[in-house]
Amino acid sequence: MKSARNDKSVAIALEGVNMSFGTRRVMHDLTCEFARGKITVILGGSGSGKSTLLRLIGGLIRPQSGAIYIDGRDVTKLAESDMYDVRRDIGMMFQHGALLDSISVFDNLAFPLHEHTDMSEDDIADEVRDRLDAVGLANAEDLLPGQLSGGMLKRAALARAIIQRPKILLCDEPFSGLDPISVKRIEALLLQVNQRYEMTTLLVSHHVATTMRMANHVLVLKASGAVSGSPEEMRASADPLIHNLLSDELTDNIDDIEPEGGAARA
Amino acid sequence: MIELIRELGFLVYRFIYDLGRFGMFALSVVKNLFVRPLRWRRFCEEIFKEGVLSIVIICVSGLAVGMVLSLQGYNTLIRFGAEETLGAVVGLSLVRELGPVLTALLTTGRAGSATAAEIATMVKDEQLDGLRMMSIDPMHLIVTPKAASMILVMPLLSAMFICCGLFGGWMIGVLLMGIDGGTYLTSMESSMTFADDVAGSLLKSVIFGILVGLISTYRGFTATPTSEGVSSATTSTVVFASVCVLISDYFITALWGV
Repeated sequence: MKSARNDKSVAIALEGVNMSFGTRRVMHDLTCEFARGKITVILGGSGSGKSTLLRLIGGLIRPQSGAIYIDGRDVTKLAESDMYDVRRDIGMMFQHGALLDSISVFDNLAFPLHEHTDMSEDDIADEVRDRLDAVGLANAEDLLPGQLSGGMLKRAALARAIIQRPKILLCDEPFSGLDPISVKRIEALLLQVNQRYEMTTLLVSHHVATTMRMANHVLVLKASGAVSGSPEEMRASADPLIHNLLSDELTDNIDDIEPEGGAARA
Repeated sequence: MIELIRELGFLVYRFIYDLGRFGMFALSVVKNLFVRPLRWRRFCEEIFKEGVLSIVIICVSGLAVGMVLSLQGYNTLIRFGAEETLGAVVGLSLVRELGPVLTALLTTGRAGSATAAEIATMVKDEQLDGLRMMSIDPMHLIVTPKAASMILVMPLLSAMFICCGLFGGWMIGVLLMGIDGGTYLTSMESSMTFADDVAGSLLKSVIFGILVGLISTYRGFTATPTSEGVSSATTSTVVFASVCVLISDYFITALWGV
């Protein structure tokens, strides 16, 4: 892992991470890495720690032990105030959007720009409208988040996550609760963002078929550890859990698959 | 027996743990008061939400309390032939005790609970995590302006409550019961000093503002991210803040004679 820590092609590396919530162990000695500029899909049954992994990388929760390297820097030892500097390079698309519900979509996107840049009001407005246009929400800028449909909310969340052009994009269930047309639209947007800005993208989703189409790499979380590889390698795997997960490419939903060891929901 | 001791030990542990967390939270609020950029706009918005929107309930309550106080005071004092001192009784009761305490309780119910519910909902909907991921400290942006504005708003609302109460007392005493207006006001003025009574009242209000501001924001910030967590944060804010106001009122009165 030391080489991975200093390897420029690796954006994020986890080393022996252990994470528990109370007496419930979610991660045991997890070691894995994520390639720079690529889309990595994180798969696993319910409760396998997929969302927890994103929150660990974002520093929203801290592991009990182990190290998380972002651009070679161990962020688990950082104070919260230093973590804010690291997060400037990370965008996160939350499962339910996490937009500020008391301000409009436009203001939600403009907010981080007001906070962290010296851009003029006109430049900020141009930037926000450019992003809203890219995600197909040009006519929704004055709406409050509560007035958006599920698909629109996801697109607004994606637009906010990439407004500062982060190096790393974390997406937690970007396709959940969406109709097939909206899924296609978000998929196209994520691919476009990844190609245009070369963002290291980590994708947690139960939509196996969609995510496998997009993936450069796949990480499968199991109770006994993580298995990673290319989509083709994963499809050829003899591991029963992986086989089960990927056989659901046809049904496109792995909600009902329990993780090894029957861990509860994370 | 062992089980009982264990339970008691756990309760004591939880109390000390919560007290420590609350202390750290309060220190963080104080620290964030001086962190740039200063959130003046948010501070003014909170003054509007916590203060301006509470004016009606404070004024109506103050008026009613003053009227009742005057009515009760008159009926009691007249037995001793001391109805001329009604102004002093109403004035001192409102300024020293009822004004700050009832304002704090009313503000807790209206603004404190709303503050806790708003922050707890943001916790539940991951809005605070969203802010953290945008490198914006929610303690600085959300919590500190809410807590700080409560400290400013409380003495102002208390002053309004007292003014309305004094007016209500004057209406009943002078207009209804027929006490001479000059006697009423002179009795009130001669019985009160600025340093002991008015400044003391102000001090109480500021302390109550600190308590209500910190408790409501703390309860919201540490809420469990569920619907039940939001309601629990709101309820516990009203209960804890009210009890703290009443207990601290006793100690302020006992220790400083205010």
